[in-house]
Amino acid sequence: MSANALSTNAFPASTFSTSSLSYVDLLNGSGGAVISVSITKAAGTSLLVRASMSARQNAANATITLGVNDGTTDHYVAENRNFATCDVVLAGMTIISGLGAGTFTIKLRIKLDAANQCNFGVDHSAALMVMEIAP
Amino acid sequence: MTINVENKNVAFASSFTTSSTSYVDLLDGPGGAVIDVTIVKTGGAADSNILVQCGACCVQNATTAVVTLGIHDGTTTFDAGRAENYQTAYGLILGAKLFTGLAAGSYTFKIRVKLSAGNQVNFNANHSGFITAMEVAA
Repeated sequence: MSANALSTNAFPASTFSTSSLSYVDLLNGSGGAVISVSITKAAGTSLLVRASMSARQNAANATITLGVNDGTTDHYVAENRNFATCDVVLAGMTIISGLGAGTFTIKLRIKLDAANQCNFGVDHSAALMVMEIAP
Repeated sequence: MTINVENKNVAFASSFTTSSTSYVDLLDGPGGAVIDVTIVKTGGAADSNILVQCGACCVQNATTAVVTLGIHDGTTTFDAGRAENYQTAYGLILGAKLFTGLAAGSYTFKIRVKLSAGNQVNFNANHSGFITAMEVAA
C-alpha cells in the first residue's frame, strides 16, 4: 500500500530577496513562481509536510524562519540563527491537522527578524514534500 | 496501513574528496561503496510514484562555492538539492526528487555530487549521509 504524496524542487535562476518580518511566499527567483504542491485528501486525515531550503543570511546574529501555508494558515517548520553573514540550510517537518476533504495547495513561506535579509539565489535550492497520513 | 520505504544511513569511514564539476558517485570513503538504496515498486506506472530524499554533511573548501547533490535512477542524474557557503565551512545539503511514470519493478537510486569551479568538498569521518526511497500513490 502506498500513501498519497507529492513533492517539488526549486532551483532558482535568479535571486529572490526579502527582509519581511512577517511570512511571505518563497518565490523561485526574482518574480518567480510560488514553490508549492497541490494535494487532494480525504476527510479524517492529516498532512505531513517536509520542507527544506538553502539560503544566505545577510546580517550577523540574524534569524530566518521557514514555514508552510495551507491556504489559510501559516505553520512553523524551522528556524536558524547565524553568528555572521553566511549560507544556511533550514529543514524540518510539520503535521497539518483539521483539514477537511478536498484539494489543498501547500506552499513554502519565510520570514526574517529585524535587520536581516534573506537571499534565495542561483546557488540555492528548496524542496517541499506533502503526504496524506492517518490523523 | 503500511508504506513501502527503503532507507540507508552512512557514517563516512574516511574522507571522500572530489573537485569534479560534473556528477560523480558519492562514496562512503576513498574507494568505498556508493550510497544507494533499492526499492521494489509494486504499483504500475499510473498507480504509484517513488519519492527519493537524500542529504549529506561535508566541508566545503572554498569561498562562495556550491555543492550539488544529484539522484541517479540507473539512467539519469537529476538535481536534488544544492547549497552554497559564504566561506570555507561545514555544510549540509538536502535534496528530494519525485520519480513518476515508473513501471512496477526494482529500482536502485544513488547519491551523486558535483561542485562549482574551484571548489573542493570533503565528506569526512565526522560526517554522514542518507538516502530514502518511498513508494507513494500517484
